[in-house]
Amino acid sequence: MRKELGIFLLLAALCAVVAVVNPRFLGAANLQNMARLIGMYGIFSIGLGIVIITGGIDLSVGSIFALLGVVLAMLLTDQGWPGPLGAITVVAGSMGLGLLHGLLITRIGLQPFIVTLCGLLFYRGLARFVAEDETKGFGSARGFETLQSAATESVLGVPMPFVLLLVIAAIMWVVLHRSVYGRYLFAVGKNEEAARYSGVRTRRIITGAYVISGALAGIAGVLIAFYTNSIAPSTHGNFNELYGIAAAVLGGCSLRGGEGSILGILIGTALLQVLQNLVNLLGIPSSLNFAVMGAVILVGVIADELFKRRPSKGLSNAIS
Amino acid sequence: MTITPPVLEMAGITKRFSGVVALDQVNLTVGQGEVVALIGENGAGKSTLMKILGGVHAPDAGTIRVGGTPVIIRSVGDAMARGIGFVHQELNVLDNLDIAGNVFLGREPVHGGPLRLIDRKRLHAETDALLERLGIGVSSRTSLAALSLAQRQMVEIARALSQNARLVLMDEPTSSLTLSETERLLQVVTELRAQGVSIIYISHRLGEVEQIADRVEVLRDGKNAGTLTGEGIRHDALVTLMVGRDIAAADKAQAAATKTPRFQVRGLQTARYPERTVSFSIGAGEILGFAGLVGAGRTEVAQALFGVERARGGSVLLDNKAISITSPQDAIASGIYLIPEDRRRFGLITDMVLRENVTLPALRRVAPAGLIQRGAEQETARNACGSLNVKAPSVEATASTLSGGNQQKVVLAKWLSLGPKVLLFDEPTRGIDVGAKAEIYEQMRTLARAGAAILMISSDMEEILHVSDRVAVMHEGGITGVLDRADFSEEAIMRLAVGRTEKAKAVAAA
Amino acid sequence: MSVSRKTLLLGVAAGTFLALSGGCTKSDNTTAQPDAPAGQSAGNTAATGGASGEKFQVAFVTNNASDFWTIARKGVEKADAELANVDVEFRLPAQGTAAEQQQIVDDLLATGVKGIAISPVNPENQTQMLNKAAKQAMLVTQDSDAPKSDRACYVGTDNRAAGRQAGELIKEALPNGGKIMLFVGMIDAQNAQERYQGIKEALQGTKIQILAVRTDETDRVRAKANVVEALVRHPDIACLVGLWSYNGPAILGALKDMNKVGKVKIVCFDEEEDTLAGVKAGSIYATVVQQPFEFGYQSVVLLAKALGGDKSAVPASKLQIVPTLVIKQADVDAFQTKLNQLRGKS
Repeated sequence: MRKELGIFLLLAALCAVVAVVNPRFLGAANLQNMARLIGMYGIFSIGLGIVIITGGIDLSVGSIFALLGVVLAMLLTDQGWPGPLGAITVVAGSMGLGLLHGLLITRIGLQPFIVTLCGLLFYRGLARFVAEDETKGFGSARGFETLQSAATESVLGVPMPFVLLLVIAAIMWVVLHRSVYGRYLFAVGKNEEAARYSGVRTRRIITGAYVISGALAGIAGVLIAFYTNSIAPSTHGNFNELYGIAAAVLGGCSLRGGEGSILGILIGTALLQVLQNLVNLLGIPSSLNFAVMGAVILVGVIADELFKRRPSKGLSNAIS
Repeated sequence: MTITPPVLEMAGITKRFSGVVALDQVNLTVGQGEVVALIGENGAGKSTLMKILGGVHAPDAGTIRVGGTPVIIRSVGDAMARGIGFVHQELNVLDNLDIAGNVFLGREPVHGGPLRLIDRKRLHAETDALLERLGIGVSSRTSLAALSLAQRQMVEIARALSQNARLVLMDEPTSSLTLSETERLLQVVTELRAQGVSIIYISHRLGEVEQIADRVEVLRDGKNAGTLTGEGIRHDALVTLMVGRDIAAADKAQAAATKTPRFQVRGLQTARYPERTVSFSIGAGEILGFAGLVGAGRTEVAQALFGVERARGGSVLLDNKAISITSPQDAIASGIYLIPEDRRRFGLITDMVLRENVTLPALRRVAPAGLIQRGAEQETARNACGSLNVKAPSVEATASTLSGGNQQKVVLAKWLSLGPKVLLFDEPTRGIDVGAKAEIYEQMRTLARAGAAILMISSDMEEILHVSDRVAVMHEGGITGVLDRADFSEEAIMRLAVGRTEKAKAVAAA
Repeated sequence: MSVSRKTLLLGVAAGTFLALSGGCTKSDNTTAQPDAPAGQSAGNTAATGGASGEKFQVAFVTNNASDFWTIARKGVEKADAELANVDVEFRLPAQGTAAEQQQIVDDLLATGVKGIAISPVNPENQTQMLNKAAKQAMLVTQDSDAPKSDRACYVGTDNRAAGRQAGELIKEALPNGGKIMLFVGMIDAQNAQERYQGIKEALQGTKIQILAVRTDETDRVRAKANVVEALVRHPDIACLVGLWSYNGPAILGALKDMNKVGKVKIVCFDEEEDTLAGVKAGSIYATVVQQPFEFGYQSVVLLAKALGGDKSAVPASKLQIVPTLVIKQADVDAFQTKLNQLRGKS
């Protein structure tokens, strides 16, 4: 709980500062926009968090967005598939890629960094190839309104992606913090060998994590594709995996594995989005976008670290 | 005539942890060239005292004087700078370096000049000299990853020695050493003493303490319980002070073993010694000790039987039914459980709490429909820990905060509720105090009485002779002989361990 | 579930091999005819020029991978089909960086191309690279000029003039003045700079105020979000201007999400599908299109003629300006038809 408290305070502090300087931060339009973005990015950040808890990592998420995006666009517009079918196919494909990663990592013993780095390169190239380097789009609404509405509409004023995020977060919370699988996941992340010696099917658990991540990336990918309404295969999803990893790590997932919480990942995602939002709202030049993000995160993490160390009474020495 | 001040003087040391008094006005003095043994049951405060000396904790009251000068120690570096060296129980060596790199970590000899490149020649020469002094037959260029647990401990000792400390603190240094290695170490301790180096020797091996200690300080429940010197250092005297009461002579193992074999292993070939086969059987209620030198292949047998490392060949029969074991799940499903040699790496997940560790193998039992029922889980954990008398504030304590003995009990607790048919113990009481040891032996006998077949791998001769009903001795991957109780003797076991097979009792070798 | 390691390894290797071999045929070569035997174009035999049998390798290098270049590609392909004395390679740097272009140009020169038509990402700082290329091959800049370099000619838009055109459109859209905001991928790109200058020139002395330029680094999610956040910060913005081809649709998308279509004016560049649809619907006031088809076509033709020995191919001014067109609501249909013709669709 401690780790999440620190980052939550940082988030709250930031929001307070921005709200004071520009009260429109709390306006409906802005909150909706942010909620939408948090929803889309949060869904795959949760997937990345699960993978990170096993001690692994997934660098290929952004490229998967590009690949799935062009495939989805082509299925729906060129091949004329019904919307839901296209979406399900694409999510299934993403899960398949996750399964592939998981098998390569558990059966052949390759390092997750390498496997997913190759994925990053390969899927991007494949996306460009399949799309013939053209930007693919959905044109104007043409029979898959329901699907598009998932990304663009709102439910009682709350954007759909955010609602989906809450639902997914709730489910994943139960899985991670209450289910047998979740316990096994943490065990494998903290000490894979010891877990194995206790009869845990470590390979299955790890592969499962990548499949889950694949599913969540697929869902997020569909939402993002409809949000932008066009997918440029060479740039779509660029660096998105870094956002996801940053959100997970800020939220308490240690890159060594074995630690993490759904709540933390949500707060981490929100923090990253608020940082992007405030650059625009406070009129900070666009060029400083990433600089601001990096600086605030660094300051926050340092403060968190110092805060954690405070109670050590190691230096007090009562010499009678 | 000037009196040289004692090398170390700790006076009136008191330490509290969240209200619990760990040390209460404890005194410890070590003179120059003196070997002082520090003994006590687990929880007596030895670790805490040593951590204070190492700067990990600061005492709430009391003084520390090194060579007569009062000091405040804030870190191991501080202690080292004042001439205090440490050889820890839980090893702090780095796998990815070689021996020389580990021994001189942070203090590598360098060539002169601005680049300060490491003088590798000197590094290896000096380390080789140390290793020879310790009688270890490996080159200083050997990678740590290739060494066994016992050999790694020797590296720790070499490191402390390389620092030319005035006082060396050794915490259970012989816990995983063979007889011959232990002898060599005790010799080194004697040599160091002759050179004027003082030693604080923490050990549960009372035999060793009798052999080399000039003085013994006994701690009990955080207080000084007594000092023994010279002739007064005797086994029962030590135990009496440690425990605070007379302990009747250890009861001999009851010969309750039945003759019907419950667990039969035929022609087992491990990956490490594929050209040898191992065959033996254990009856229901029998404890079969597995003796042998380090590297004889005993752990490999246990790992093959538990499915951690696939066997190259052989068959296993449990209750006369052939079973196939290709993974730990197979073994567990058949009721065969392993308590591994390295409990911190394989036995427990040290970052998890007791409750999570204890319920891990049988988690589904407290999780109908896949969701863990907290209440049921806590109850199961409490029962398991309670039945083994695990000393911890609660089941929510993190496993890493427990003493070695209690950790080992938790490892055993994992399997208790699952009704073990076969238990494989690999060095079950390494680094564990007398009190906890007795409890674990008690548990073993209880499980045996309930019908389990127990395999106990041990390098502790006392333990082997004490606890086993029969002893199988391994040498370089094969069993050289099996001894019945009547034929038990240290000599007989050692002879088999170095490879001389018993004529009358030879069992299937290659 | 015991897939043996060997089997899995073999499977992966086989799969990768198949995928790669399948991809081999579809290279960046834009020869319209599949696997045509060397030197023959099976389809279009109406070859112009080409008295000498020598065939030159030329390349067309873009500055990023946006849809804009898809149209240029069609122009390049048409020229390639018509001209017998050139074989054209079409190259796109995916991230849109100068470093990538450097690598592409180096590769091309190594394989012996004789002519390059390039849109430099950062002309000011790429002079050295361009000059080096100009020594080994005939160099022509398109879409974005590098006047300080040794390029033989520039084929393309006068971005500053285009900017002024856009400025005029903004003035038309906001007769009473107002606040506007500009959106672009990267403001340090040459064409972005020039358009910005052009707009500023056109708006001088008016009551129209440019509040800021927001960049999105080609992240389209960011592009859309920037617009929403700009409107949150300044709800009284009267006009939104998109400088790169995808900014228009991003702005439109954002307004749709906020239910402000029609309440805020949009002026943008280029002709993505969504942009034209927006102009037709009246949501976008107008777009300034560049005729990328002509960039492709004319630069290849110029290279072919010059390499073939026709000295008059290169204009004395070294500038071959392709005029930009303004497309307003009434113009969309005609323009769309023409586009489809050029693209080869109906």
